[in-house]
Amino acid sequence: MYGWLRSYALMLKWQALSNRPMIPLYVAVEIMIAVGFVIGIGFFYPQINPTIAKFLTTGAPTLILLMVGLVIAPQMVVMARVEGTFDYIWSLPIP
Amino acid sequence: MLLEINQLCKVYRGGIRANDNIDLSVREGEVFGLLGPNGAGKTTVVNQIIGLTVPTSGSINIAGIDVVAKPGYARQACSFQAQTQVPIAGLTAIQAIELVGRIRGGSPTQVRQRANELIDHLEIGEWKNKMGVTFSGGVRRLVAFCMAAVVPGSIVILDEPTNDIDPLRRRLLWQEVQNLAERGFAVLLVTHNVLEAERVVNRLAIIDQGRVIGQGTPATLKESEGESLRLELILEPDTDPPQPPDFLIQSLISNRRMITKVGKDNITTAIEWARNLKEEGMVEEFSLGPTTLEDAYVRMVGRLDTLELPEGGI
Repeated sequence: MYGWLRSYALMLKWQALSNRPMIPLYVAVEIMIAVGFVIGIGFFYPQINPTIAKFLTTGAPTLILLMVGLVIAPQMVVMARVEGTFDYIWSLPIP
Repeated sequence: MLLEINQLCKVYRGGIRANDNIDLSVREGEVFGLLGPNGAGKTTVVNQIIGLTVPTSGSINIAGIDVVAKPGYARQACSFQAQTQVPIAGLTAIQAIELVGRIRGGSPTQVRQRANELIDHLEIGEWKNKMGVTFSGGVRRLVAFCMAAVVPGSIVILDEPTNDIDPLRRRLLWQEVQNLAERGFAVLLVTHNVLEAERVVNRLAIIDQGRVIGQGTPATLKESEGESLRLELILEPDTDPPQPPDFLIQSLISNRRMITKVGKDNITTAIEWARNLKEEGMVEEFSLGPTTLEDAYVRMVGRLDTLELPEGGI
């Protein structure tokens, strides 16, 4: 169990550090998607009361995470496969 | 034997036979070269050893354990430098090396000490704390080597380790490869650079079109060339290559380079012939020496255009 957690933490560190040059871009894109999403969804409601506003502000990040997970993550994996770096990660002794 | 490969075959969809009945064995403390032209099937062999590709048939054993059935063991037992670049754009050299060392099970202190040692030996200290995105191709490859050597597995697999690296650091890298072998690790070196491999490997196999076409020590493979000597001529630019006389054997011309073999009895005649060509302005320079592994390789593979010329010409 310790081996799993240790490897997971190290791989997480690797991914976070690897994406460091792209983080400003990701943050900008995330903010733009979030703002666009909240404004866009707002058009579905003729009046926004506090309950709807609460659902919008808490539900939007969840849906954005789904979008990011379903679009950006597969794209990153495909890029890594094309570059050959995916195989390198795959060759490491992760339990 | 530490690594034993028997009757290994890999057939891809569409019937492409990348490996065809390959038999290899590598012992502890040995540098074993896997040589062959581009697309010969060398990397496919490596990918099957570390479990990235499943063989169509045949067996691969590391220390007696069947790694086709247990690829996890292969990844633990082998440390690997890939032919492609490693994903270190956002990491500094020291971070990348230490991360792999920790993932391979090294303690932080041991990993840091070994990483610094490798950085010093390969003289890449100026990039130690710089981000990978700023590295040249050669520095990336040196860092990738350090990642494979920081906490080595019992087998260290190096796929084209010297591509893009300057000649001085190539020498340092070869020294490190030999240090690994002296420490008891088996090194499987995949390359198509025959000239460099000759100086480093203890034994080698030559692969072409998925098959092993020769195997042994550099000396045994060269023996098959007989007692003849190698005559090499660098032709003057924009001149037609000279017609090789009958006493020259297996003449090959590539670009401005002519390589041929001379029997023991014709050495004087051959030198005279080459000297005359130089005086006539057809040849820039020539040299006569013992046959090399490259000659054996050319004879076996039979295609000069796949060879890599040494740095800075002949």
